[in-house]
Amino acid sequence: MRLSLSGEINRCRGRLLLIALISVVFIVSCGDTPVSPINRQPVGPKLSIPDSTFNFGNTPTVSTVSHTFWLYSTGDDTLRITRINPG
Amino acid sequence: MDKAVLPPGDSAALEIVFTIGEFQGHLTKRPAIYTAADSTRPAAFVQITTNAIAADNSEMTLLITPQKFELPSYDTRDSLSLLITNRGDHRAWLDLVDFPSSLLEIQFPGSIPAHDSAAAMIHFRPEADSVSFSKSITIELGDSFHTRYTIPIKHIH
Repeated sequence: MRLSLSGEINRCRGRLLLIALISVVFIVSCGDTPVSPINRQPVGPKLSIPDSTFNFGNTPTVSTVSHTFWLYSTGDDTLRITRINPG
Repeated sequence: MDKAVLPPGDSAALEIVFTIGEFQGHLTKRPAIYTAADSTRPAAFVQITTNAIAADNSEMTLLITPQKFELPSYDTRDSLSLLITNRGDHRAWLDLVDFPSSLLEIQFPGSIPAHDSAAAMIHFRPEADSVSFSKSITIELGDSFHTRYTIPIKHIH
């Protein structure tokens, strides 16, 4: 009777160990895959303009207004701006 | 633009100068920016909007006098005064949204009581003395529409 109980406990321990092992494998496989600089895809030149609109509101006729926008190079290669089309 | 070649992490200033003619009403312009990566499609757009109004427009809550400054080369003033009148029935809360801080320094009233006026002082920095420029000052009213007013300043050296 004592041997049988001890065997049952050992079997339970084995099952728990197996479940814990599967859980660890599952958690690791669901986690974010670490990206090494070697695996990262090149983005190339990239232009970002966080504030790309401006409202002057009410302005007098026959006048000139101006606003400065800020352009950011957010890619991994040199950005070359070739022309601005007034629109 | 102050520069056209930007290494990663760098930035550049793009100044859009917009001349408003006799037309009155809403105007929108959407300049397109092209890069060497693709010469056929714009990489990005910027957009400016304005509502061109006549000098005697009485529908506006704020009356700004003068509406614009045009300073010829013989005008050697180093500061200008702007009178802002609140024609509304409530206190007007004002915010200075945009101005050329490298050329001008502005003393500005934060609010104006109903049916009252206040002066804003525009001081030219030493850098402004030796250059011609067309800039503007934009203020925003603290109403539910965030109504804006822009005062052009043209300085001929």
